[in-house]
Amino acid sequence: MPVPFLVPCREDTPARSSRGTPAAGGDALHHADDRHRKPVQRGQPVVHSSRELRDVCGRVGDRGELVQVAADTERPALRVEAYDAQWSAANDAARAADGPLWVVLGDSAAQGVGASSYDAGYVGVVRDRLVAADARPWRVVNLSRSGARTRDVLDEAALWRNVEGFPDFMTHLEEVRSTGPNTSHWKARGPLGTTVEWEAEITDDVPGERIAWRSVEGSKIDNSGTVRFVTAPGDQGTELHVEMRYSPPAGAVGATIAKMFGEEPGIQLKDDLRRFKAIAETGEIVRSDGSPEGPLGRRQLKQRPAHPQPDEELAGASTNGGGS
Amino acid sequence: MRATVWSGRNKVSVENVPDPKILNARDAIVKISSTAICGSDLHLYDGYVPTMRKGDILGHEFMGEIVETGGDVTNLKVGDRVVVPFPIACGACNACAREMFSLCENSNPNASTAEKLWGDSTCGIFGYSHAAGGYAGGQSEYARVPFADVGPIKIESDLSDEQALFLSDVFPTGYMGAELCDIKPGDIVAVWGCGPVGQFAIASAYLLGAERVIAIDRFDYRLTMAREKSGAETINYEQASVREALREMTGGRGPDACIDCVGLEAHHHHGGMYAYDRVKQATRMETERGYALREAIFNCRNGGTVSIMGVYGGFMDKFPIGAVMNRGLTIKTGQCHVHRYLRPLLQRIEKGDIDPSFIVTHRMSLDDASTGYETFKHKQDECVKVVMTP
Repeated sequence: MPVPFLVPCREDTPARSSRGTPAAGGDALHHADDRHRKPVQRGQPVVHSSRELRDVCGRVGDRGELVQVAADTERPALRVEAYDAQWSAANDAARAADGPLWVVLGDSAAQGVGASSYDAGYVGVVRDRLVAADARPWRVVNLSRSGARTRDVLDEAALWRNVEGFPDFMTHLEEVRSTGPNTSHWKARGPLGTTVEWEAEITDDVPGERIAWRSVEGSKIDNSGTVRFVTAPGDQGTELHVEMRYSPPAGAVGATIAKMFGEEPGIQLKDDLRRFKAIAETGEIVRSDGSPEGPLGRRQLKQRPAHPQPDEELAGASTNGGGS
Repeated sequence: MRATVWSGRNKVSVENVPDPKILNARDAIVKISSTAICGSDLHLYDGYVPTMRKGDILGHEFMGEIVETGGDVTNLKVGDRVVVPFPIACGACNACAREMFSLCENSNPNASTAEKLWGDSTCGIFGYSHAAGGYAGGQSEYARVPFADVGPIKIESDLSDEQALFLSDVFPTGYMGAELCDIKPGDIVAVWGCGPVGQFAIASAYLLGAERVIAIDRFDYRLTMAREKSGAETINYEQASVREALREMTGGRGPDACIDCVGLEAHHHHGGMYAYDRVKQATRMETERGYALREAIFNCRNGGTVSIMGVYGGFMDKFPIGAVMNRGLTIKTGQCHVHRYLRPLLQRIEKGDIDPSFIVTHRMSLDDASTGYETFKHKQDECVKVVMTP
């Protein structure tokens, strides 16, 4: 089942600094730098489901199977490479053009394999309908790859590979900024308005399998982490296995830092993963009256009453990633 | 706006609270036209559901008109008339993909609380404790509906509110209770509890092809409703032995399927048995009074199915696992996956297969909510269902 994640980059969205990941080996899925040319502003939903697309386009079938394409049984194997090449060329043209951008991640269905031409698959059809419905010159950068698995998409979907998006779902982080192809600057929130900052570098990067990072030598706080992507049994989805290690320095400063990474780091990490899953699957972090921040361990010990809060109360409880 | 607020055991009042706002892009705000008190609200009222807080707005059965939508809601527009299902579901996670909407993995921001109570989390539910998400409920003038592009069903025909309202919970819940029984032609189904869910379980068992349905309760007026509206046979457990009556009515085998529509506050005619559970529940040594469920299990025919739709919250004492195991019973249960029943059941109502408004006995203003709770709780004035209008 193709999972067409959308990364809407609207023209009115101010650009942030590009992360600048280098393209690896010419594989279409690895042009992460292009995808982040116009990063989405924090507070906007980052990833959308195919449902939104369907709604924009009007009636193009039920339940997100967007369109049926006639199967072309004649030598389909040759078309895989041909369509890939044609999309690459089309992507280059789209990158050079102006207009709202739709980035497609998916598998052979998104490549149009089986359709009569590369853009007669659902991506081409939907793009045409987008343009017709929206009257704006929508561009498509199709980063799908025949044979891609959900975890390739999740991995590439600007979430784990885009460290700048981590604060969307990691509540203790205030900001993560890319400082080079493999390095980034991290800033975490502490109690009483304190913050701690450090530099991190990517130490291992196997697309679709794992990504690992650690703080560079001399950082105030020694920390490292690994995310592994494992296809769930029966290809039901992707399991994310996250390991994080923090070694705060000794003394009072260390105690403060230890506290900011959570008295119950297990619960905090679990909350972060719930937020990640929510963004990946629904495009937002759902808020309730009792938990206006979304999943948050310490909020669950001190719930607000389940009735609408006055504006001033809500203002202090905005989520990083969800909300309008 | 005015809203029905829980302020402790046996205490609800209608208070002024801020109007709800769009908090997520997939939200909608509904101006409520009708809202009902559910039997499961009585468990909150009676203080048996943990993680309630003073100030929580109650209510998960409501319908009304869309007055505002978030930026990502394109299937609804202002003015649409909708019924809102009580489970909040994202429509995108693994559970939703399997149409098990009440197990949605993304709609409960307090998932880790629910995890502590039950081992894993369930969906968010309107006005149903903080373990179920801490969402304000719909016994109010307005309600915020998260994932409004997934849940609410539009009512485009000229059905009255009372015909459509119960799609939000009790009709699908009763229907799912019957559907879980895998009813085959000739089957006899017994239903414990003739409140609203029980009434719909009875009606649904007939819709799904049951040969006979036996309704069990202690209130004659509720048994009369089951008899007259759905054609059930009835047993008043205060006047007859349920065991003997069921054996007599089923050729000595027991019902093919048993549906528990009672839940954690069951009553029992045998003073000693009732006292046992009541004392243990009151002293918090068990959270459930499980008599109806025990009786359903004990009386089901060998190899039959026991479907549990009554609400349970924690732990039950003296669970007859020996009967379940040795007699090969199947237990099926769950909070209703309302979303998957909305369309088919709306069609049944529109076709005239059933008119759900038959359960309504009391109509009142939202301002009289506390009277509504008392009347419903104590079964005063032959109360089965209270519908309130803001």
